[in-house]
Amino acid sequence: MNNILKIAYRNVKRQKRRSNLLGLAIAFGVMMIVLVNGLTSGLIDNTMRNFETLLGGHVYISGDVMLSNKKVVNRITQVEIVDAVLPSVDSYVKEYQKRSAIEGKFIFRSNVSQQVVYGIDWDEEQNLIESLKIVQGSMDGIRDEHAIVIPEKAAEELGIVIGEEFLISFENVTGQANVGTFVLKATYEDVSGLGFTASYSDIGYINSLLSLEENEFQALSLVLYDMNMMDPVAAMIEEGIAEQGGYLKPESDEDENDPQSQMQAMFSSGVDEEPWDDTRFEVGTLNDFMDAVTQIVAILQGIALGVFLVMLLITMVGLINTFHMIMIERVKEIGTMRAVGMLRRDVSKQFIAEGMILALRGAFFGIAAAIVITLIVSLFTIPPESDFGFILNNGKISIIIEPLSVLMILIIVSVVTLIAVWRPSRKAAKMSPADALRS
Amino acid sequence: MKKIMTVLAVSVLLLPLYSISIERGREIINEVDENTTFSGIDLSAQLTIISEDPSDGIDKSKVLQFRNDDDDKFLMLIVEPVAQKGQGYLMIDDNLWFYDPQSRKFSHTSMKEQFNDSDANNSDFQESSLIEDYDVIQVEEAKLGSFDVYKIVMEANNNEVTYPKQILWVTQKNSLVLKSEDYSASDRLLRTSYYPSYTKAADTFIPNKMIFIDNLVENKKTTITISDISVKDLPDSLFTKAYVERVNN
Repeated sequence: MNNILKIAYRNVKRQKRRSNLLGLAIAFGVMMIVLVNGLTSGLIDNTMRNFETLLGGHVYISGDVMLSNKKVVNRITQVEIVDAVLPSVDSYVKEYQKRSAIEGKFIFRSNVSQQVVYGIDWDEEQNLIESLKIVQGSMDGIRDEHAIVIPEKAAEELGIVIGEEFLISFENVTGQANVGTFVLKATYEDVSGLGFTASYSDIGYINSLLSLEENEFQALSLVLYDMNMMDPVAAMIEEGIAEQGGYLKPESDEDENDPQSQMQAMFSSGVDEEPWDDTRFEVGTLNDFMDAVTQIVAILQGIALGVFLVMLLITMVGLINTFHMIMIERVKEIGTMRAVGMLRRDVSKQFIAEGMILALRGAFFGIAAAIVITLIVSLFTIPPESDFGFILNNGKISIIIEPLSVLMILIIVSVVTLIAVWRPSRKAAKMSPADALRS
Repeated sequence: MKKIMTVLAVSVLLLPLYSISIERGREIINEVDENTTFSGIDLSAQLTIISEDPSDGIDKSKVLQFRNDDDDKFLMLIVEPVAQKGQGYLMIDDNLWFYDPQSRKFSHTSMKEQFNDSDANNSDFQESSLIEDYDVIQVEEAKLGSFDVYKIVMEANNNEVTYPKQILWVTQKNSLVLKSEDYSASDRLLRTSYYPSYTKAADTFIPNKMIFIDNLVENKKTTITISDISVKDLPDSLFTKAYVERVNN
């Protein structure tokens, strides 16, 4: 076997130009599929992580209440229903995050900046605390009622420094004007990559400003141990809410694939046509926000697969032609080797080995080129606030080359090569030594 | 014991005075509403709005105002600056619409929103309805400059009005608001408005000048001067989306 491999390798090196051109075609095809697969994996990963950071979890429970003037406000008043349902999914949940939100004007002296503040329970949001990259100040004293941590850019816009007091002007849940006083404890670098930044403060204070009860909240996010359990957990919660007599929002005709409308629906109010009592619950998952992204990814992967298949077809035709030519060129050589005792199956094996060396060498070059391109791409930074912010990882394009995916590509290339070389190798093996030497 | 009895007696004697005062406060607020509501007549005027913002500088705009208080309709058409010409706010059927001639579309907006990024709210151009939305909490006689006024503290009787608390300085002579302060739910002063002079059109008063001072953002204020006031009847067709679209063609 060792000799067969040696001869096969020597044969590949004998026709350098032809081997290199064929190898280049295989390398290009493999490089393309590795890059597109890596790019789509990175795109999904970044988008999910960015939404997870922004929304604080994987499964979301939100609620709407209709006021007497038919205005719909974002609020969960029937907290007892949520509390009764949560134990049934507790084993899947790593962290619960109750949040309320204010969208308003940050005012410091004559400087104004429009921002969003999430009211959070600092004791429950360990993930958030760990993810915040503090630039100035510290998280000491962040649990104080008026303490706030804001994005670095917002602090720059306001011209405020740590320890200073500023105002936030907004409308409470019933639409009345209100103002809160906050003390800046820390600023953080926006790494969400969504171009969307939020500030964080104590949920108790935010609730009091919004005119919500102390134990109320506007949205509850569940961080799961296993992201694959998102949809089953959401279904269990919906079932539980219905069992507890809660009212669930009926399916709407709105574009559920639009992440922006999904986001607005979580912390928004509007006018609705059909009245209801108490809280109208809505349960969503990260997948709801990801639908649009996964559709784009599916299209990209489809295009990549198409390119890969075309490349494979070209490679296959190239290999068949090449090995047919090799067989004709080496008739005498095959005859000689057969005459000195080489077995038929060894001739076949030598052809197959030659084909495999040619294809796998090209494939490995393709993978190496993809890795080099990935490294080069990782050197460039795109502003996270750009339109592509939500698919970036801290302003960088992620290309995740997964070993399993690479292995699959190598197996596919090997199988295609085997199919392409099989027929010429059989023909060469069946050749009679006498006929071959006579030709 | 004697002292306690005296205090109680004085309190009982003063109680009717206090309640009269509150009742009088309600009457004054009612007069304020009636004095500034154009009943049976329409109003058209030109507003010159100067907004001073420390970060954006000074913006000047001219707006045509049309009001039909009987049917709760109004139309505000921006004529200057040229970049905003044709933009309009149309109040019909309890809905306030904003028209953008660039996109040729109407979008729903709220009375609580600021008018054209100024310190005036859309509701400042509507007929006054203080008596419906506010309860009088305290009334006292006071002086504002050389004017004898009632200082009236009011609190919203529902949680749907923009300002949960307002303080008005109303002239004793003819029940016109000279100054008002708007407070937040957390009782912080948000805005101070001044109405230094009024013009009488038919039997209704309209301020010649309104000054709105933002009490949260330093050095931010809006001055509105009202001119070319007319109380001629306005056609119903003026308060329609079709008119707002047509006037731009």
